[in-house]
Amino acid sequence: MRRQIRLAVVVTVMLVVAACGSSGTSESRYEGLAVPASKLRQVPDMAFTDTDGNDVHLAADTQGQVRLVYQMFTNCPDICGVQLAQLASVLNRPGAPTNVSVLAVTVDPDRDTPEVLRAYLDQFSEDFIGLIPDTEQQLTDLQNALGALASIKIFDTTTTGGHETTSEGDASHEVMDDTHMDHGDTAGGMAAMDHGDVDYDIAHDARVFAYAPNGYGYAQYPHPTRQTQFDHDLPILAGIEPDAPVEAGL
Amino acid sequence: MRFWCSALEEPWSWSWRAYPGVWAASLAIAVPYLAARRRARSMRPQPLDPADAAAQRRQMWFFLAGVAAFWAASDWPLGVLGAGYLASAHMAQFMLYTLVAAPLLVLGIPEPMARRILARLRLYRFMTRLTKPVVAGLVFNGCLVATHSPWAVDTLRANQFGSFVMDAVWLASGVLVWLPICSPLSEHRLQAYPGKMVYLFLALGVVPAVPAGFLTFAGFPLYATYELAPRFYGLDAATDQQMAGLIMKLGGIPIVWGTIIAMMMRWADESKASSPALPSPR
Repeated sequence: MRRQIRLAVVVTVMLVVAACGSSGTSESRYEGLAVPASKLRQVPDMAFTDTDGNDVHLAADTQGQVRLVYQMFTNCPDICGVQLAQLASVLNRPGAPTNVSVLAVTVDPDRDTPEVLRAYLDQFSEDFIGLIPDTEQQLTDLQNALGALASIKIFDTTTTGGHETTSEGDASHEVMDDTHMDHGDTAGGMAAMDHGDVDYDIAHDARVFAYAPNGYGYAQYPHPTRQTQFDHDLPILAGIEPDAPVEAGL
Repeated sequence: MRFWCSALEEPWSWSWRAYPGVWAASLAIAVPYLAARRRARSMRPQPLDPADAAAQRRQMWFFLAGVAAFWAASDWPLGVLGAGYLASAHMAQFMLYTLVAAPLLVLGIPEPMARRILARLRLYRFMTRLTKPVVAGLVFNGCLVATHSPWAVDTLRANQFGSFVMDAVWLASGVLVWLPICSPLSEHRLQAYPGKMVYLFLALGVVPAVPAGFLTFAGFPLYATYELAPRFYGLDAATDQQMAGLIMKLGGIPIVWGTIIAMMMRWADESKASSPALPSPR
């Protein structure tokens, strides 16, 4: 009996120590990917045309908001729809922060007309802001500013012979090969488009880039990110004051 | 070519896919059964009387319907949807295995065949212990809770072998939970109707309501498999999970309560038949 009690005490102490140890080793306050202080970027100071034809400045027109910048396209068969649905679910929950803007930038402006993009986003939320780059250079500039991988068009190799990079992001060429055309890539998961009645696919960086109200991008959310992770992090980001110093979100 | 339905990291498509493992498993259940029946018939010294022959034919159709339900739950499209796209389809599979396929298979096994199998596999004593109502109910509900935990679903559904194991556990635990009600061996069955009804209500009606409640009222999707799967006609993960909870909670009602009502009626009939006729009032 005494031995059993001693064993129970030892096990309890071990569990308590393990629990304390695990909480003590946590380095980040975010459940998404925390961006190291040395690599922090500010929300791109760029303007895009929204689905109503208005100019939207990513920084100036969303002041005081958490900006979730997400590159997507409406023909995306998998990741884009999943992540947009996750964001819509999390933001529709009672108690979710209200100062959050989802800025969905299409990487396929040729096919994603304002009407098409609006109809697609409305499936998830009418509050999502759909943005369309005016030029390929603008998309490239955005990807550089985000620190995102460049998106690439992939033509059916049996008919057209391969890839075409649509923009020149930071890390485009060394990682953009077929082996990364899969879910769960550490750089954010590359959303690959299936062939339907269209003649090319697009691989793009599927991270959600999160910028706090003070303009700094403290966290990123690659696929797969769970709703619980967004739900944990968004109130933290939303609670950072617009005039808070950079350290406030670290 | 894939052997068994498991999660696919690609958009849902209505294009048919072959899962030979499912066909092989269905045949592995049906063929030995039919062969055993055929052998039993050929060894019979004289033909059965019409009533017994009709009862045996009915048993065979029960068994084959059970195999068909097993196949429908395991194969494309329900098997694929349940393995990787929709929690509600996953739950529909569970209900088909445990509440349709399993009791039909049990009802289809003739007593001599059951005795022969248990004797050959030396499982008679083991099954006698396992079919005690408390044991059968606990094992079934233990399997139910374990196989619906997020860890089990996300781990097992990710690969074909794991997915096969989950389906096999569902079928086996489903067969077990029905044995105290309709085992071909009378000594493994509960004898009294009240006991059968209480057992059925507790084992298949009460405990499953707990995980069903978790699924219906959870704040977030519990299963990464279904939350992160490409969307099926835009159905969001939270609604899908709530549907799964409702299927688990309400889907069993017709079968469980239908069985209980049938038993009450049979009990009433038998009581009436066995009680002495009362003298008519003057």
